[in-house]
Amino acid sequence: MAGQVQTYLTFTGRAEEALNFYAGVFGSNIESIMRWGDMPTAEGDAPMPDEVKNLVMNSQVLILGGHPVMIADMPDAALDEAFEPVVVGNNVTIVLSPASRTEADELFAALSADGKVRMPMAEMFWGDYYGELTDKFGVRWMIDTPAKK
Amino acid sequence: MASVGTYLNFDGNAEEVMTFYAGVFDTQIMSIMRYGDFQMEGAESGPEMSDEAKAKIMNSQMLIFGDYLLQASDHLAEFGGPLVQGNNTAIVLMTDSTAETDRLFALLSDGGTVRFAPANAGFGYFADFTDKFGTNWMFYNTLEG
Repeated sequence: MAGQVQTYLTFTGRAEEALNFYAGVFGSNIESIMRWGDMPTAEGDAPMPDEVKNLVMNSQVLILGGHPVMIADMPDAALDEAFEPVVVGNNVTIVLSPASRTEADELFAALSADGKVRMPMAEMFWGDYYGELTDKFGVRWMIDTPAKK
Repeated sequence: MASVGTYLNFDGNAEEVMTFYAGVFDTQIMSIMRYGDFQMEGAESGPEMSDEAKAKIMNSQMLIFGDYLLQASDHLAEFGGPLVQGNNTAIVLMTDSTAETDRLFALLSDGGTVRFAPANAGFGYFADFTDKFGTNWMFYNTLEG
């Protein structure tokens, strides 16, 4: 069974800021960005509020190893019942496995800026160099490398 | 080589979940470690873990789609508060064909909540759902020809 796995992150207004942050951390480009206001409208559709038009409907940035992350804003559920309220969970974490401890330290420092360090990078009992953080946007990351330097 | 994977936390049923995913993705659970298998260095003086907690999954791993590492564990509330199953992160599966998407969707969404059943959504062949264990998934195929 072949195929590709991507990660989809939903924000509530800070998607573009997050997109730029991740492009900076991973030294990559924003592959694409589409806004809610770019969406074709049908006759009879309710007019879209200006604060929704500029939100990110879909975008893509490549992170470690070229893994694609899609990023979007969900508009405020109070505007339209079609917008599902966003619940920021702690059940999903993105795991990064860089090729060296140096890169692990660099990624950890960059991602945790203004965020929350849950476990600083350290050698763990299973032999890997490992750390955990929640970034300033509430996205959870683990960094785990078997590399010895 | 650098890579990215996904780690999922569950509320005590991680083994059931991973067994289900292994069946869906036709793969095997590579490893299971339980909290009771793990002896923290110098932790003799620490609080004794309940037998129930000892049996929970500390880490379990499998590869899906050949080389994508999916890990899961049971969340213990004593480490970091209650588990919150959010909807802000989804795993996106891009299969080789819409037929494969349909097949996997049927297996993975069984008993779950479907927000968008597999169909041409304009930008591609797409599906969006939460499985019966609370994990959010999407399928996406580009439309060709």
